[in-house]
Amino acid sequence: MKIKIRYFAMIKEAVGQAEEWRAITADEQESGELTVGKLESELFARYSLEQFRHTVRFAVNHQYVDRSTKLQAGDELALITPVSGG
Amino acid sequence: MENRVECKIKCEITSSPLDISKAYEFVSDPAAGAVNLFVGEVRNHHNGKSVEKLFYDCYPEMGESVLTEICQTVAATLPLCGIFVQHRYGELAIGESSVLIMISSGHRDESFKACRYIIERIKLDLPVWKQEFYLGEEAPLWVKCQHHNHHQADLESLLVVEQESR
Repeated sequence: MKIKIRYFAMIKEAVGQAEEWRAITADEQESGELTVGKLESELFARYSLEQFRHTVRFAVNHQYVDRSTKLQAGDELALITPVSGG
Repeated sequence: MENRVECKIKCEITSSPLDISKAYEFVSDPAAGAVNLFVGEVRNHHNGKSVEKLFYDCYPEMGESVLTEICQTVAATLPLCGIFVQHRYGELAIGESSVLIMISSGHRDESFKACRYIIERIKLDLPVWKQEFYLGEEAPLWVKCQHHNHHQADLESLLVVEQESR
């Protein structure tokens, strides 16, 4: 019962790793109370990511989502800072 | 009469050099009267600094699904024959190509518009990040593209085709 979290570019350097796993409790899984926004607060506090707060976007299972999206075991959450492809 | 066939789509995120002849072969179509190509290349300067090389980080699994969604959106709106899009990641030298978009369509207007739409959507949504390495002592920087020319709503207007232009 885990969620995979992935980091890229600047945020990967700030966090110091490209990915990690976060256990999801039976309680969280059942209640559906673990949202993207809740996990964001947890990660931003742990890694001091405040500088990314206003620009970061989130993807769950390769799709952009908003902060109210509920997370479930097996999901892959990615923190997407402003992209610069092309 | 318009010979509408299903639009062929191919999208790739790759660490290998991009391949214009493969793109041309893919989009070639007997119903196509126009082929449009856009290539993004690594330039040797940015903001007054001399760039030595680039590194692109990416989220390949999501990148391919974002590219596919972008191409399907275009193909559902404009009558196109083929779309081929590649974006490269990893280390790129000056003059190498970072992105390639090739479109074929019955008439030129659609392929120009589709090409423009796709590159602007890539700039907005493709999970790829550019890091510049400079000549001299300066430390490499992640490029911040905060001045996007288009918002999603403006982009939709790029897909409107004027019938008179035929």
